Amino acid sequence: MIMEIAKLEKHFGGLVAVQEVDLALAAGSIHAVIGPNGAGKTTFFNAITSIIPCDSGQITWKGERIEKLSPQSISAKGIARTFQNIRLFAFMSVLENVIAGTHNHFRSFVWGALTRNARYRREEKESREMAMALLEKVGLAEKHAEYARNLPYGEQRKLEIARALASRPDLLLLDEPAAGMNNTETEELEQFIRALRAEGLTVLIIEHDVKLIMGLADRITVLDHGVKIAEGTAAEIQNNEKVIEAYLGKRRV
Amino acid sequence: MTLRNVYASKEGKAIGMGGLAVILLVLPRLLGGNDYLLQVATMMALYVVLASSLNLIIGFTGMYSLGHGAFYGMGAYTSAILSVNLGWPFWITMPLGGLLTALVGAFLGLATLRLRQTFLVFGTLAFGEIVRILIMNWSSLTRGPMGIPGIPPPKVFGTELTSSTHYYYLILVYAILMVFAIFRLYYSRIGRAWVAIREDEVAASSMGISVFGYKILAFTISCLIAGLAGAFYAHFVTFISADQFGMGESFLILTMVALGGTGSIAGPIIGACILIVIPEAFRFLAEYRMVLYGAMLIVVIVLKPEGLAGIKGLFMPTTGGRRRTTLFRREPKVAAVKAGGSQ
Repeated sequence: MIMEIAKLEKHFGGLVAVQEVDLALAAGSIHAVIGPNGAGKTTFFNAITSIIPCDSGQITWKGERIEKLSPQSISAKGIARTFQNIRLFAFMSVLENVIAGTHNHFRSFVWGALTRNARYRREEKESREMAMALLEKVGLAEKHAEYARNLPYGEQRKLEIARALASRPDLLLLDEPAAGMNNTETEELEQFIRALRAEGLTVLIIEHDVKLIMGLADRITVLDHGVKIAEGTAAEIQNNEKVIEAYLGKRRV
Repeated sequence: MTLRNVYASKEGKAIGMGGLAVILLVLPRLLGGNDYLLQVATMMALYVVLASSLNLIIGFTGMYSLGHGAFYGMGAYTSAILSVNLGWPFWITMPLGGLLTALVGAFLGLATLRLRQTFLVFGTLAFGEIVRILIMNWSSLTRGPMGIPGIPPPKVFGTELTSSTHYYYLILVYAILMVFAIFRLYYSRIGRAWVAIREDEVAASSMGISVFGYKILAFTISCLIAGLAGAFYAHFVTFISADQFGMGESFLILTMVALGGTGSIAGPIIGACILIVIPEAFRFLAEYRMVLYGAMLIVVIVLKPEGLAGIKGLFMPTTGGRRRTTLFRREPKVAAVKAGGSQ
């Protein structure tokens, strides 16, 4: 298990957004978190990445407790994410967005920037090549000079994934990556995520597109009203009474 | 090849920069030893630095500061007091003035940079007033409202720099060095981190960028540069008093950045040059020039919210015009800082 989450909890005033959720993530797997709207999926992600600190519970990453760390420290540990409401650096170029993602891999600072010494030049070249390779991979290479805000919606999602991958993570958190994508794009995305797993990356994904999830995920966790109501393989989830109830409501007898 | 693409090409840039350098170098000659005009040019260079340094905070990192005049004054007073009271040479008091200002800026940053934008505005505004009141009332050190007269001019190789031409060159060298330094920082890993923070703090921190650390860094460097500018100013005018570094000064510098355009290297330079020249050129209008001043600002904000530097073909190349933004965005800024999501 690369990550173990135990009894994670988050309240907003009187509202319990996430309630005692446990989750174990196997290294190199694709794990999905699904649930109806307002189930607490995004809050769950935000708590893992410390963007909203959790109230209680433990998150163990490679044997190390991380629930109290800052978002940037969590990024440095090798956990990267994308956002449901796309959060690109709108007035930076596509290439610069991805380069910004490589931030933690380089060390040159004020002196290096002022003098442009050998290390600075090497690092700049390296980060640029890394970023271009990633853009190549998601198919945005020829748009590298455009402002991120000028990309169409689907491409902005791709760019967010490229930016997240630029930090060379071991775990990638995808928050509804297929939202706003058409069928072809969704299929491409599925292939892309499979390819990432083949490279050894662990993926935790929130998605509404049930077809995508059922075909893709090794394990699925279902949240409803902040509580984990089921976990298992796609087949198990599809036949789970509680899940059907959460999505469709109780059958009238 | 259109005019604006000339700026973008390497040769065009080299020719433009070279031409500018030649003009700046022979300017004292061109002005025919006119002291007044040369002093205006010197003030222009000084304000280019001040506006560019404020742009680090506002344009690059997306924070606000209404206390820049106070940092400028702090550098001026530190250098003046050290050289008048202790007789230390300019080349020691000037860096000390900058360092002290940077230190105070860093502490102010530690205290206020966690605040939300609105509160940061008031925090820095209040800080500026505190500094001014402190200068006015700490008479034993600052001579209070009487100001500090007789600040000695700097010496270079044993000779005192007294003529306007000397000062012009001295401050020109300082201005060029500072603008160059800011340029290099902007287009480095540090500049990218700053702009990322400006664009989206949550995303920046998720990419491993230490938001608070880089904000402090921008604030400190900006204060360092402003403090140094203050020291140069003190020894240039030889008399300083508290009213030169009040709120009006802070707003003037802010206006230069807004007028010229935030988030670019050229913007604050253009803004500073215009706002120094206009009051001088329209002296015959006396107090009415403030009306002109205000009207001009409103026109720019309404018609060109990204500042004069954003006018296509004038200063902005068709390609390579990176990371420009506006202080007065037409579209609302994306989401609140703390809200990670709606659920």
